[in-house]
Amino acid sequence: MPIKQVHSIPAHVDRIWNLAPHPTLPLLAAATSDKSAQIYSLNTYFPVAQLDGNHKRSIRSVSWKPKSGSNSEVVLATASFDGSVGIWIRDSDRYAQEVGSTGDSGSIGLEEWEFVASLEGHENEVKCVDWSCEGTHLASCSRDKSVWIWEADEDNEEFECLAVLQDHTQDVKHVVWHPNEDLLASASYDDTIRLWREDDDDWVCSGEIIGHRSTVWCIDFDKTTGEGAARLVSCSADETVRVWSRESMTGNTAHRDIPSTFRSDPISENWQQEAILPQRHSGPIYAVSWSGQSGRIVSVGADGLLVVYQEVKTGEWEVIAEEEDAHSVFEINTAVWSRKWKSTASHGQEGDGEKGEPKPEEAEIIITGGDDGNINIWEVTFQK
Amino acid sequence: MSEPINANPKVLSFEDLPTRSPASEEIFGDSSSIKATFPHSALDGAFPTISLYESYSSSLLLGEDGLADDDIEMKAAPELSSGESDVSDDQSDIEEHEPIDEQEIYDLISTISDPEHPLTLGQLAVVNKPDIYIVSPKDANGRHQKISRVIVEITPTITHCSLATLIGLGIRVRLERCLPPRFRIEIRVKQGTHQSESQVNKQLNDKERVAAACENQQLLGVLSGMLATCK
Repeated sequence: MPIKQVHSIPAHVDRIWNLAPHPTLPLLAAATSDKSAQIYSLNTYFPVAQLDGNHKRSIRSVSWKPKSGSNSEVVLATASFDGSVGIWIRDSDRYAQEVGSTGDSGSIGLEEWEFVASLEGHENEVKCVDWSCEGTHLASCSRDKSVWIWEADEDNEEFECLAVLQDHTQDVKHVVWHPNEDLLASASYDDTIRLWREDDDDWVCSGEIIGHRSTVWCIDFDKTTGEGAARLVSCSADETVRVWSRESMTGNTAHRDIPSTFRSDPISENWQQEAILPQRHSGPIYAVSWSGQSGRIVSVGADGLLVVYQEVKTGEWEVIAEEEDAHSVFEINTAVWSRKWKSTASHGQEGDGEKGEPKPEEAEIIITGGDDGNINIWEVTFQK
Repeated sequence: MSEPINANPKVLSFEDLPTRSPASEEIFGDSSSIKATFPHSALDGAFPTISLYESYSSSLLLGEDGLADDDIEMKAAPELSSGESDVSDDQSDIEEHEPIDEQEIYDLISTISDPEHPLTLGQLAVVNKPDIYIVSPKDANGRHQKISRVIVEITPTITHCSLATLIGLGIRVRLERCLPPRFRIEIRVKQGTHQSESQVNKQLNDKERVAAACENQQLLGVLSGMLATCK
């Protein structure tokens, strides 16, 4: 078996719904059914903060705001079954002070986090939240069948709702932004995936992907495609993992100054199924992740199976690693690729300063979370 | 509930419900064929008979090695064995090695109360033993896989029963609380017994919806009322 478990964090006694590694820092956020989110160091695998007291029900999803330009704050969004989205900011002043004074790390409560905003509007459970690549937009989705797009001010305290998108006919389970376009994808209990774009100040549904025969639980974009190309992977309760690619786009280039209502070419994109990945799972598949480093895909689900796929040539995939009972007999709710961070002896250096930050190694890891409350860290050792 | 959705359901008398007794299984194997009519015979003894039925079945539950007809290797859940606290030590040893079978699942869920009738799901034949399946797949080496499936098909009393999802949720919650985590629970409406079968099935087996529903205090109140009649 060319995959090995390198670490296991006994994080919670209850279900872990979702895990998100920070895009540039060695931090991992966990969404749990005990109404809290926890932050772990990916250097030490120790907890560094617990975010609780604000959500009244399970936290279903977490997303880090990417750092870009002058924006240096560490910001996390949490989506909860209580119908709200929470925005949390690391109190960097106090953090720096404490690290300076004690130099000690690895215990809960070292980092101070501030709850700065609660985004209200969804009628019921918020299922997923995701920041756009530049950190300018935040998308959320809910059982109320809608997708909301929010825009934050500089301080991350005032959020304006730019759009409420209601084309899905059932719960929206997952939203994810394209790695470099302002393109949003959403997956639903109505078995479809929809794509959304801004068209002359309006957000519109630019495409629909039909093919899955049951709930689409999770989607992720290919982060390695070149300019103008787009692919995404989806997993479903129909026990399949599928890859889709954008074949064509209209309405995106010419006459952008003419209002969309008067344009002859409404914005739209045509997506086609490129592949059904080798079928290994029995039971709903809850999560997929597409590695930006190796281009590999990982999937996990109710059957406890962890599967890693590699593309042999365009549209042709093979299974390169498989692990049964990856969380013993428990269901696995989330899986995500992350860079592998060096485990340094002098921890506490994982601050937001660019200096002293550990360099990510070439190797990547897979992080999974399950109903057993464990966070497991995996390495694919097989090199092809 | 002001107006019952099905005011006149068919009701089984408790003697007809399946138990571990081989004799009664032979005679009443097809429990659905034996029905008494609401309201007289059934309502009289609905609740008092539940406790009777339990002591009856649990006394038969033990020392029946031959009845472990399935080849599933497993230990009883702690919650399950704790229910038989009145048995002696060597008997509980036997109990521990006895695998969980369809009868045991039936015993767990047939005593759940219907949300609108003062009757159990067993008496209303919403839950029937022949509609409970335990699937324990083997791997290539012939060993049982760690994860088993429990499939329960429910038969709503009427085909437009809007309480079917609530009943299904009650069964799911009961089994999730009692069975070890290696069981994957599937609750389905029996084919042809409900007009929006696929919708109900999809809802009942959506993990996220079930989890969210179980955080709804009002719904939890209704569920705990339904489960109050379980041992």
